[in-house]
Amino acid sequence: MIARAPAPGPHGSESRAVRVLGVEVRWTPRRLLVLGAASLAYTIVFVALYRRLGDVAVAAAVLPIAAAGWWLRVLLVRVRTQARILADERADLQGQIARRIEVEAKLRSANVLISEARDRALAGARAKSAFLANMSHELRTPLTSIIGYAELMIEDAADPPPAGAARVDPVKDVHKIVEAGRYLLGLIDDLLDLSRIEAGKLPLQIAPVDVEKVARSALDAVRPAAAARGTTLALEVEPNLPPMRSDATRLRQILLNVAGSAVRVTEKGKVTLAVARDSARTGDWYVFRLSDTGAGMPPEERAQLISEFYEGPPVDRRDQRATGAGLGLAITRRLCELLGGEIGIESEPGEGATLTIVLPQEPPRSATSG
Amino acid sequence: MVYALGRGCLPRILLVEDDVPTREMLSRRLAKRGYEVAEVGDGSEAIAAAHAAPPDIILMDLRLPVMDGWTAASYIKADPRSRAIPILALTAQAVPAEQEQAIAAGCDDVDTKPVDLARLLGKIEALLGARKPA
Repeated sequence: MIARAPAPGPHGSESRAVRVLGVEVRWTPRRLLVLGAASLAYTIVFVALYRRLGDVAVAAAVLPIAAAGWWLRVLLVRVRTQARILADERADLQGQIARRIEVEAKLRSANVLISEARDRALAGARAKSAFLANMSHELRTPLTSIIGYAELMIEDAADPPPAGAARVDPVKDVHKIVEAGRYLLGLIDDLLDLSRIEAGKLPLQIAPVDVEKVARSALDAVRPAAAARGTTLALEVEPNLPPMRSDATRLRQILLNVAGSAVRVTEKGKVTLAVARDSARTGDWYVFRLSDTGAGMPPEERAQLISEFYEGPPVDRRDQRATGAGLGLAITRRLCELLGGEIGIESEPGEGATLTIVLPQEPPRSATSG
Repeated sequence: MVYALGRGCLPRILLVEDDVPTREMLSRRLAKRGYEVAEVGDGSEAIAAAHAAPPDIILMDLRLPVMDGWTAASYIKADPRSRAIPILALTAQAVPAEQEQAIAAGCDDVDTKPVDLARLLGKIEALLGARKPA
């Protein structure tokens, strides 16, 4: 009934835990000393009594021991019962702890999801309000010209400049008003397109598309702007390119936007649109590469330009690609997604830029149903 | 009209604006009101012009290429040679934050585009008057 427990107690090698009838007893040197002293005292008293009283002393000594033994057994049974109850409760508590840890882990991962969703919503809201502020700025710039030139013409009519002063042909001033007005109209059209795309209300007209014809038409539209900057345009189409099934109007809009932004940043350089099948991907994909020899741009502006949270033209207008482009590139990115493809940009400051648009031969069904 | 004044007597305005039509329009309208107007298209040119031929006042657009108007204003106000020149910031941004940033960068006042010329002239005259109490 006496077993040695393997683990040393908190006092290290000085104490040894021993199980006596299921109860753990810890032997310390001090306890052993007390026990030894008690045994010795008991023996001395017993021997002394035996000498005086003989067998009576033996009986007197044994009886309390027997009584103590019986009492000890009763006590041990109670202790064991109590220990079993405690062990059951302990197992129960451990089960509860395990369940709580599990629930806590679930709560923690739910919290992570919630905070991620909140961060996304906040980023979206911030981008929206930054977008509105920038839009307001973009709309006010042409309005400044429209109102300003109109007022200037009224002033000139009422109070002509003196004979010696340089005169400006009023028709030129009217042209400034017309230009600013057209620019404003373009901005408003872009805004409407963007809101239609975001609301999922831009229907696609999917039909066979002659890719080369659409690409040529987009380049032709930016040819006057390129000529004005002394920039040449080049179109390179892979021979025997089979037709795509896509939305010709939207494809042209995409190519026009990227070609327009490339021409805007390229003075006396070259803008090349290369169209080919994308052999790197499985399935039928078309890749449109628009490279320019313009100023290029640092990585952070590149990312911002086609990001999900496009905030409109940047505050300090250092990025000339976005300046005057209005919402073109933000629309382009969404149109590419609508046609089942994507847009990427590679550029280093001073080394021009290459915009890459990859579109599937046919948009996925989900895109056409909207 | 102030056409009768000698050339040297005209208050000189340095107009900093990157949008060419806006710059030309403002320049002509201010010239009609008797100001001598010098034009530049970005913030770094503005700093150079403020030092080369100090104007009586600077009209500064804030969103500019190369160096924006806030930065240019803070440089001009940090330099003892140009510190005294009043700067009137011009912004197409209606949000107050941009205007507060302009004041924080050292601009003396802010006006918004599209321009209300009477209001703009009032602000210009107030700044010129404050500069020359005599």
